[in-house]
Amino acid sequence: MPARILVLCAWTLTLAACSSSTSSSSEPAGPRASELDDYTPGPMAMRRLTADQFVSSIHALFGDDLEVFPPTEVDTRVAGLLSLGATAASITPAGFERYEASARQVATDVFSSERRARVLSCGPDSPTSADDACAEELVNSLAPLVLRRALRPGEGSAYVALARSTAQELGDFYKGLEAILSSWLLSPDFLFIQERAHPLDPEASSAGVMLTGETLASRLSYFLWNTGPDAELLDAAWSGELDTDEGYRTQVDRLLADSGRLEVGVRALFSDLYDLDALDHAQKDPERFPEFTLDVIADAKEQTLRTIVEHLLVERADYRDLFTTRKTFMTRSLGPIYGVAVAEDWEPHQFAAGGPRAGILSHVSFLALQARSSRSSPVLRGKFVLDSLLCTPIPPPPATVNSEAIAPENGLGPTARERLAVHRADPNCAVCHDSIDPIGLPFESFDAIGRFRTQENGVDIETYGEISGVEYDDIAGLYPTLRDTPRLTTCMVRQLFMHAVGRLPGSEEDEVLGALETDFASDRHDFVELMRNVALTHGFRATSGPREAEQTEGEGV
Amino acid sequence: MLGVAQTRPLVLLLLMAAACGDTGSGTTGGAGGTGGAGGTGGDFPSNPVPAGTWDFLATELNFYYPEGIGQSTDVTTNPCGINAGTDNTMYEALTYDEVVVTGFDMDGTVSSSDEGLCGQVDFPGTDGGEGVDYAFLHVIDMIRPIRPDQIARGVLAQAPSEGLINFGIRLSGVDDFENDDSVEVLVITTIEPPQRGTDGRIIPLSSVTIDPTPEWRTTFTGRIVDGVLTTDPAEFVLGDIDLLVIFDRVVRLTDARLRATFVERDNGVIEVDGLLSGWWSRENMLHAISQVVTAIGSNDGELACAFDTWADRSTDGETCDSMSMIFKVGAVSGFLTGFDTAEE
Repeated sequence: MPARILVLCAWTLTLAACSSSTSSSSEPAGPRASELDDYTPGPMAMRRLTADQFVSSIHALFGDDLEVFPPTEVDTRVAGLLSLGATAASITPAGFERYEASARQVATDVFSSERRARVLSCGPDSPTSADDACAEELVNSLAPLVLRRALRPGEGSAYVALARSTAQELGDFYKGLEAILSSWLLSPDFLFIQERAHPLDPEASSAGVMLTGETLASRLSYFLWNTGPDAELLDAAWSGELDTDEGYRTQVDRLLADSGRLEVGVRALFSDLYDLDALDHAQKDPERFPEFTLDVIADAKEQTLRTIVEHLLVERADYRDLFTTRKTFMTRSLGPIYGVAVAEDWEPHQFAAGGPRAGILSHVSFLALQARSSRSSPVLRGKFVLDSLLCTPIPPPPATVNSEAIAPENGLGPTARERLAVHRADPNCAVCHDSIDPIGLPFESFDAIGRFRTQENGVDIETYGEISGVEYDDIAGLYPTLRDTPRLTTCMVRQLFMHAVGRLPGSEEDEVLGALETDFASDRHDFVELMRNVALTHGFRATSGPREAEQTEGEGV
Repeated sequence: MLGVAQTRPLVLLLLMAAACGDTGSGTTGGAGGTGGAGGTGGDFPSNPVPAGTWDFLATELNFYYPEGIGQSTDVTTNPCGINAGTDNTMYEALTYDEVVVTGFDMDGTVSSSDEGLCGQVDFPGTDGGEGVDYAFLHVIDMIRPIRPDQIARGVLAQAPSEGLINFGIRLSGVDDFENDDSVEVLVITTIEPPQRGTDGRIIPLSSVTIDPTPEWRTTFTGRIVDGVLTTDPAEFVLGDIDLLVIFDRVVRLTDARLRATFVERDNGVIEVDGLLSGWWSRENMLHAISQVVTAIGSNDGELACAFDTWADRSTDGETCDSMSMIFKVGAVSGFLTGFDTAEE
């Protein structure tokens, strides 16, 4: 087992080195990513809506004020992304029961007397009997939005018949509507983002086959807004507008210009990337950290997301500066942990110049999440940077390794640096820890809930470190070093592409990924432009065809 | 009091905070204070705390129970004829002949009980001096619910964290926590309690907003000698006391003065251990605490009787209308906000 780990580590580190060296922004400019179409994209994907998407899709249809109980089916991660794990996710019988309960609750609430006027423009002749005309009107207006596709011949009348029979049986017109809405919300068309392609066009100059307009509408909407397509986007699909370059670009720009829904999409992406929802379950030793309250947990997550939105969407600032910016937002709950005065919640705040905090990695969200319940963890923090920010996955430790052996009480030294030095003396451990520790140890400037400190167990903490051969003296030096690490943008491009298409990049897509990275650099690392460029790639709009069965088991990068 | 070993880091802390500005350095040492400034630029404001300023949040405002009281009993007649115990004429008096009190000789004399109008026996001081004024200690003796082992002490101990007593302390002009001949101490009512942790205690370095009412604040001038802060007398007012069912009470002390020491915790947070001494008028004492005392089990009129029995100062030369009082004050590093708004 140790030998296998050693090989895996060596492989991943080599991969990182190679990727960084081949994707440098100093390469001569080639065609933009959107101009490349002579490669065969990856296969189509069928993704189950994540819990977040399930809720946001219903909110988009019926309003944010509708209470939705998210299904509890487990979302899995592939290559660090839930949105990618969704391609391998299924629905268990028990999970289906929960979906059903949630769908029925939504349907009941949507057609409650207080809300029904929002979706119904007609009313029945009698609330206790069926009304086919009114039901048909609802089916025609609402079903395509819920199912994200046009109704097939005869499908609409089948729904009207279902509404009729239910209304007659229960003596309630609205119960009939609830029945058909429930059926839509439990349909695979709603629960899964299904993809379809046009027939192969032997005359086409580009490789692969183009996705249908409806597929593109869903892909685009979930990518940029994390929710289903709106009526205008579906209209564009049905009219053929999305099949044209100009029409497609128009819709991409429209979606990007909707700042409110774009923010929802960006929040979902970074929540996924940084696993911020896991903060909800973070537990800290209450005796050591009574400050770590539920308010802190909620505010810490929101602080990071607000900072990201402000930086990337409002200021349209350089993505890399997300890791060096001193600007953030502060609340009364977070103030004691940062040791700052806070006049009112969510006031803008600026970390002190030259201080130990800058960028989102100095936020409580990251520092508390990547830590143990009673102590900090340079290993978790360093591994997160390698895995999630530099796409250099570190395999899990061998089963024989006891991570608690380096706990402070085990006498290996008063500081984590000393304890990990003992750990690295084992060559099997050193092969991974030589990469993890120089990144994770500078974060020892912060305790398990993200409070700044200079000592551990009464001993001064040394916080020097190194990323990709570039050394720094302390935590303040880590941030700009990470910012300038080429692999940082290489990784972001790759993650965003995977998030967008719901699959790992195909073997022929290295060139377009490289072009996206070059475009990203020439666009001053404007994240919105990167999203646009990803959406405009041939790989986003086309496919090689259905996914082969064995490809569904692809793991890792 | 800070020992030498404790004092040194505090001085270092002061220097670091002054040099570094808001955040991290504030946390290092933290402590509510800062040396201010912090980053500026753009739309992002700096922290509003001026250099050399240290803010604290009240963690305690309680009656002062010197060590030694409540240890012995002496069955005797209640001077008021009212008993807070089971017998209506006899009660178990506390003895405090041996009690040494940390406080002030506010009237400048070592008083005795046979000394003219309002003469009461003063207490020996912990610093070796005599004549410490604390007549309210006799009231504590006579009213069972406020004795050391009774309910009032616990209720008051929880009051700041429960949001029933909200105030902060701003210490300004401190160059040296060991010896500084000129500091300013602002005790100010706040409109909300600090945040509480999962243990129910006040979280250090919380922020609270000051009450804009100009009358509900007191500014003392003082000095620090060998780590002990003492202030000159000032008229003390604390507003918005919400104890039990009593609302909008105001505590007023005449010729009040503050004594405090500072202890730095491992994480740089500073704790204040202080005493607030002053003359409490009959009118204000009854206004501030009579209903509370009644609510927690005393008999109606007992407080007034006890006051009349032990009042030790006359302001009109005819009636004993004031009593020497000492409150115990606790505080911890935090931040007071809203000064700009309050002064607009």
